Amino acid sequence: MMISVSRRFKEKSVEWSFLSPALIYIILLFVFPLLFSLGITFTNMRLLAADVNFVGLANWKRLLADANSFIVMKNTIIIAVLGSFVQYLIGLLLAVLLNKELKGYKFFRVSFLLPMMMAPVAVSYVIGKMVFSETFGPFNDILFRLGLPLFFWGTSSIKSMLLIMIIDAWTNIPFFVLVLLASLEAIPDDIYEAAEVDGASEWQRFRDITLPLVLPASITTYIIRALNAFQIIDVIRVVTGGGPGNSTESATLFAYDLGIKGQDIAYAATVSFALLIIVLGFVFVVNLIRSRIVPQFE
Amino acid sequence: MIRKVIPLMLLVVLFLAVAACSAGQADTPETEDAAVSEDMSDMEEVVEEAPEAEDVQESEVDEDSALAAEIAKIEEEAGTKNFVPDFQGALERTSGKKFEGVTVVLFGASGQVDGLLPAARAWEAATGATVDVNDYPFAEVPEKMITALSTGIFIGDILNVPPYFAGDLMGGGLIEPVPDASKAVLDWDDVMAVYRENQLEWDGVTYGYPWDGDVHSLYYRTDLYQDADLQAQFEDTYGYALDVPKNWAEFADQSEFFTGEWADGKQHYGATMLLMRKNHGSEGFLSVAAGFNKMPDDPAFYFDPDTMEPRINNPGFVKSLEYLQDLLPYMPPDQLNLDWFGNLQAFVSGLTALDIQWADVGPMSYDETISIIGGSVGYALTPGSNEVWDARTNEWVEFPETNIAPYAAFGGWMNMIPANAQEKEAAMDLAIFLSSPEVLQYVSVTPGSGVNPARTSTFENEEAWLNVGFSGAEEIEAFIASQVESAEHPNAVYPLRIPGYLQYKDALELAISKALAGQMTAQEALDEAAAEWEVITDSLGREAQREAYLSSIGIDS
Repeated sequence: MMISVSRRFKEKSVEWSFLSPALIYIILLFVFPLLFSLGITFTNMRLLAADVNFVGLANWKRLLADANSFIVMKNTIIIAVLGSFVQYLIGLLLAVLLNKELKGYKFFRVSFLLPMMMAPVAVSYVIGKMVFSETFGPFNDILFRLGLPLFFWGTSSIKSMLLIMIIDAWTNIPFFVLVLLASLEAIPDDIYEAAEVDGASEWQRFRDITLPLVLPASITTYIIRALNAFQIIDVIRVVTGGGPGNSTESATLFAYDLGIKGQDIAYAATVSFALLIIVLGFVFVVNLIRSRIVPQFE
Repeated sequence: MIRKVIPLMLLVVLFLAVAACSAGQADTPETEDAAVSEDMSDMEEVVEEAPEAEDVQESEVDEDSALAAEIAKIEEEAGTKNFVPDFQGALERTSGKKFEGVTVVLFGASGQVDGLLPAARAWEAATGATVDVNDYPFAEVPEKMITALSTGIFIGDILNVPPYFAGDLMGGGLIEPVPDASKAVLDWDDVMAVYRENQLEWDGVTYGYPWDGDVHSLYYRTDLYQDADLQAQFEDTYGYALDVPKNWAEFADQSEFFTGEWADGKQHYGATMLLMRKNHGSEGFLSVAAGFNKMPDDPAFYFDPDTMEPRINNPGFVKSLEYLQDLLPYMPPDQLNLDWFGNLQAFVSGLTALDIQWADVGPMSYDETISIIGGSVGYALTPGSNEVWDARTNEWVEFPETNIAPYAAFGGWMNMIPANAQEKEAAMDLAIFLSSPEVLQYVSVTPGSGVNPARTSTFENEEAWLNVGFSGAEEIEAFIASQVESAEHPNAVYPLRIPGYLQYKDALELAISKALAGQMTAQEALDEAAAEWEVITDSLGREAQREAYLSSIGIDS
């Protein structure tokens, strides 16, 4: 009995010694910062201020009473959930077209990936501030020459949001194309050939073969992209600054301005935690949908 | 067997290694002796060749003249045919010490801090020190500086930053005060009072070295205002002569008048000003609000000095925002997204007839890469109002003459030495050099430097202003008059500079943006901003904020 306990202890020790570097890494870089920032939400901590006092739930109460915090959360959800879904649809369409190996497909395969390799800040400035400049930009100039109504987005909440989503899509659609194209290429040709022999139309083959087989990759890709989009800050900061009003301001930009520029790091941490809760809720819902939909195709 | 041989071999290797080291050590004294011996013989040679006192003096004279020649060369390279800077004069104000091998780090905004470098080369040559730059894009300066200073991280020996950090930095004990001796060599009275008191000081103590002065003025197209046909058309329409607007009502009429198709067949707009959120978006609004709200006998503007209740949602400020809502159709379509440069570009590219901006407009109007209006720019004080809201009595006050209240928007840039500077003595020496009348004259008349005058003497050498391309004495005098009168105006409004400034500013800019985008009425938007200001004030401590505010407007608490 003693020998058995001793051996088990030794085995466990070896296991823990192998695990410990990773555990220490996780605790130092993930768990501690997370708990520390959660702790900050119960204080009145400010950058450059020496005094830090416990204020209980004051920051959380402020968050719930702050109409602007709801607006920036709503904006973030629109950009992340809806924007990413539209990007997915366009990415899937492009991936299907590229998978058909039409004339010049190699050129398009490479060129579709270029936006992903460019810095979002540069893309935002070039597209948002130059191409779509209402006064000096070529886009409005072309519309004017064609006799079409000009695209004035500066005072329109919807158009400003649309512009942000266009720029974000331009940068991130290649991500969907890249992953979905790999997924499409993995589908064996003989399935399509069998369906063709059975008289299935192109739409039927897409609906009944392509879509179900790329669905697992689609959902994973969508979650990854949406998680990234929940943190959007660069495009908005460069193009609209969150305006007009705060109709395009994201939660991350809101927290950044509060915490780093405004030095109110405690309230900024509270906003960040609220965003984390929303993101966890989003992942839970998508996984729930996934667990209901994916088995139907398996 | 092998197990026994290997340790034995290792032992032998260890023994040999120790022996080798011992041999090396045994050799060392001899080597050192030889070296000392060589040094001694060198010294003997030096002693034998020791120069006479006259030779030493000659050598010093040679060094001085070589340095003077080098400084003259740097001055020549930095100057133009119209103006050669006097860096030698600036160096004479410094300690004259050598700082060989010392590196002084300048922290600031890219572009802005670059303006310090041509002059700093002369200081490097004179002291033997090196000036290094730690710069970031303008928008990132607060973030980098605050995060560094709040965690005690060294970010620079000199901070080139705007004054709105005064409450946090100066009030927080993070900055070294400027010694009286430094102020004496810097001709402190020459620094314009508005910047001395509102930019460089906190609670009666001076912390900043002057660099850049900033005040908003009115810029207009002289060619349009002198056009006889346009003058006649305007008078027919509005019933009074077309002249430079003195109040906001005239400004609105003229903005409306100049909006439309001009003689070039293109669409143009009346005016432009800074209204983009998170990019000086409150500066345009406050330029207007100053005229409607700043009573000449009331130093307070933003808050009630007794209660710290915000004034920004009172009828005077609401009227200012409603005024801008009405003015928006006479501004470029992307007015709410025009950043500082976009605003400047809108005016100098000929898109608008009027602009409310900083002094950069004058020099930049001669930059042919972006401007088509060089020589056609007029300068004046920002308009005021004939009725002003008195927040103390809660009533409108009629003024027989227009109440002018220029807004010292942004407040300029200054140099400060942080408490955690690594090379304080050298940094102080460099700060004196950079803030000298000679260097500030140079940077103020250098196109593209982004530096506007902070000293009275900068205006005295009118010929130097030809350097920026001005057409002649008349234009220079008009430019100087608008700057001096704006900065030294007794009713000028200075930016808020209490702790939490950026939070207050962002809340106000959000309200301005919401109202101008039509999402809220002016009253609703400013009520929301005022409520947010109350939250910020309470979170920072109302009494502490009140004391800081009183200090910032020169009232003893």
